[in-house]
Amino acid sequence: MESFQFVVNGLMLGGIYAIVGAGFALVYGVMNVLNVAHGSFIMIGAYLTYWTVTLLGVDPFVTLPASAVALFAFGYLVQRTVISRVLHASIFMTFILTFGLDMFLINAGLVAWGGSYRAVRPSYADDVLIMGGLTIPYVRLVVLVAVVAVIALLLLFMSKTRLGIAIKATALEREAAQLAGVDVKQIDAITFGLSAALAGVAGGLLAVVLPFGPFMGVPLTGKAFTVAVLGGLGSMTGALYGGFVLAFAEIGGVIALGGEWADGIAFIILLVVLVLRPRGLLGKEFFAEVKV
Amino acid sequence: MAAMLEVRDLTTGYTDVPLIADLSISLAPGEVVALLGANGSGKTTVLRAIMGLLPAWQGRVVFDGQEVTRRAVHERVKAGLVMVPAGRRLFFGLSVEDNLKMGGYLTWESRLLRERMAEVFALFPELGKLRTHLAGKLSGGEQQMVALGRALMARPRALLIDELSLGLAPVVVERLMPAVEKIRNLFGIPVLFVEQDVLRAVELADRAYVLDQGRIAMEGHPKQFAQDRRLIRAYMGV
Ligand SMILES: Nc1ncnc2c1ncn2[C@@H]1O[C@H](COP(=O)(O)OP(=O)(O)O)[C@@H](O)[C@H]1O
Ligand SMILES: [Mg+2]
Repeated sequence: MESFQFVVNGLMLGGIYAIVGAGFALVYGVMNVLNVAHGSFIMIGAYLTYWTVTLLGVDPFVTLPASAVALFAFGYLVQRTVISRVLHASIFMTFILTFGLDMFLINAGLVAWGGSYRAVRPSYADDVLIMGGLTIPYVRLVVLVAVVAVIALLLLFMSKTRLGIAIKATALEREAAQLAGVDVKQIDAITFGLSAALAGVAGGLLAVVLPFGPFMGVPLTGKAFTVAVLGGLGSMTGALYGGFVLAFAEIGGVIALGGEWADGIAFIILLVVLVLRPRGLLGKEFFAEVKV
Repeated sequence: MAAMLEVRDLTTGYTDVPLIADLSISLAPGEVVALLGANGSGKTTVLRAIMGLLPAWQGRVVFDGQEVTRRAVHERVKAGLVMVPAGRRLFFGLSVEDNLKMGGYLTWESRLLRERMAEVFALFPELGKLRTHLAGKLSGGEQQMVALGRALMARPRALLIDELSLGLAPVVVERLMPAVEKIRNLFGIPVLFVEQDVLRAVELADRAYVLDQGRIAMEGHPKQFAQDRRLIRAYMGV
């Protein structure tokens, strides 16, 4: 029973981390930007779902495609207007810029929605599914299904479509992609939009399972970084695996060590991986490594 | 005959010192032209400037009657100007098939992609069974075939090739060089190629330029100055 809960929770949280980490890794892979504001995109996604559910009374899962579209547009514009200015600057400049963007978004969130915690509670929030003596909260099951669907769609998009393959090609060999006729500036903006859309979907899913506020993104940026490093920075599929590794490590750590360790575990893993194996545990060949 | 590609008084560089100064070259339809010169004489820089990977400070690049000097790289590719970069620059993490498909990025129509891929496999049969392999796992020679194939997938109207033989064993180069001839004959497109090995270039080219410190030092039929001492001095740097 307990081990079953452990697996369900691990898969659910792992899937969300995977989505968060994949978006973070894509941006790093294509334009060498470590986006400190990634967590705040998640936060915006959480509020978008919250307000759509609250104002329109729709099911929270129905809001996800709309918030993905909205965050894609937002990410695309942010890249075109702001991020594109520091692409040829040092990584330090990209840190300062995205850190500033993060501060701005958090404070905008505080001003607009206040600092109090909120939660999205659909009408079936307390329902459980009983299967052969096992009980699963119904909401968690739907989150799990949504997570699997998003990851499957992402993998399909990246491996089968013209745009997905072009994004990978641009990450691997930017000039060769240009020579193949790819407008790489367009790809930069699309990749940033895609990353924001994934963050937005993750935010909507998190809002259904956990209470959240304007600061919810701060630890999540750190986790996105950990997941991406675990997967070998810049490798999207590596980050997908990394998400599940982190989630199971966290949940296992909390069971073994206690709840206060929840957010610390990510940073312990990050440190250990960076010291022992900077190309990542699952680092795929031919993708970017951590450059020291 | 009107030139397919015309570079006029091109000046460019990486720092604030011009590396290429007032350079003029041309490529006529159907012609195979070699760009020779010692290591560091600026050959790669010229090709990069023609493609727009490096902006021209002065001068013009005219392709098929259209001025493309200020156009983005992908727009030049769309016009039919295609380059095989030095060192191949394959997408190592993608399969051979996806590398080739990327060459056809601007068309990306499944029937056309299939047809063109079949042409590439006809030219280099050994690639056929490597379709699903990661490009990064191939040998140098196989990688160069994919690089040529990727360029052909774009249906070029003129092809620039930067050091086909770079880092490859002589036997492999022997196998690859005739492909340049074949490409010209099969597709009827002009080729401008950079080569270190002057003897090989002599076999292949209708005409050649010798580049020395960013300027054209000589122009003519490669045979006529294969024996020329000035060339040997300019070219080999002795
Ligand atoms: N990215 C760069 N930044 C600065 N200098 C460069 C760069 N690439 C090449 N150079 C310099 O430009 C000169 C010509 O280089 P290149 O065009 O590659 O010559 P070639 O292809 O004939 O060997 C060399 O002295 C080289 O050091
Ligand atoms: Mg060169």
